[in-house]
Amino acid sequence: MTRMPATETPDVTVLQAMLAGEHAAVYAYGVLGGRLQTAPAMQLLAREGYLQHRNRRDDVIAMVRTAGAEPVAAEVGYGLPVPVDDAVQARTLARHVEDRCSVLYADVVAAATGNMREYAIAALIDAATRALGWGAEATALPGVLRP
Amino acid sequence: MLPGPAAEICSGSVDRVDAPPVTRRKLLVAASVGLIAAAGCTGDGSPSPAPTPGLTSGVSPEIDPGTELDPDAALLSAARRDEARVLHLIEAVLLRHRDLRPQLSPLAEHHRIHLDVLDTEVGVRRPPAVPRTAVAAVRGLQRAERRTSQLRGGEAGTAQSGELARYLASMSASSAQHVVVLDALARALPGRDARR
Repeated sequence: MTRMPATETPDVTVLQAMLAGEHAAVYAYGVLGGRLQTAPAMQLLAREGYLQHRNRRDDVIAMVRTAGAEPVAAEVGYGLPVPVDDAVQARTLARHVEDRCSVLYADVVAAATGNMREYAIAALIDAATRALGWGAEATALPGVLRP
Repeated sequence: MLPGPAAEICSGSVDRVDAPPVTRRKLLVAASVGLIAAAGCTGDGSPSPAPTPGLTSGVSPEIDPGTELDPDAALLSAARRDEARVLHLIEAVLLRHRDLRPQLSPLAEHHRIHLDVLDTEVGVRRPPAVPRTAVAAVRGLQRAERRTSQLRGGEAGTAQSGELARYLASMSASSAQHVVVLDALARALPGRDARR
């Protein structure tokens, strides 16, 4: 979770953590999309994933601004958890991204109420089902328990 | 118009302050429900003329691939939840106010019996109608999982406890995954033109 100055409200802290996660997801999808040239179906999945996370990033930026705070910026670059030299590794990275987003949004569900919690519930469901497209198995408690 | 065994457990339990052995109570409840279930069968296959509210077994209609797997499942689990809640409340009061035992113990026992009836009723219910083709059966499961995902998601949105909300949202996501998995399974099965 991103640590924010103590002066910010808990809601803003949670929003900024969401935003940091979506920045990283957009970056990762940008990288892995370039490694899937030979697989049109995978390219489509990567494109959909990229657009989804970009939309979420923009949603959360707007939420942070509405809350009266300055949105955290994306890092210049991100250390990727796995090397991404071929399509198999790209799929692994995509699964990892969605897995991390599931954990992130499960945390937000627990921390937030109202509209923000509703948003996080939808995002958790989206991440959990999107991971299946990348070859993940269905699990009992996505975002809570490791498979 | 409850048959003998049901009347027996009711009268027997009211006089008892301590809980009777669970096995005996469960047996009696099972017997009473079994009798009623049997009474629902007239032998010629026609529906029972006067089903007993809450304890009917019903007569299986022609299998409709589109039906929910058990139309009373949600109702039964809600009833069970409410009975368990009031039982736990009575037990908590009894722990703190032991003087109320003579008055409250029978009430608690009644709710234990209610729970047994509901559990036994679940146990003796006719098996859910399962469509003849595997693809229709899988589509039925898919609908049930979709509904479950929506219900858990809605509960996650309104839960007071954040931790409970996390678990409910995760269960919702799990059922959403099942919808995807079952969709892929149905598409891979022969006869996949069955309606979704």
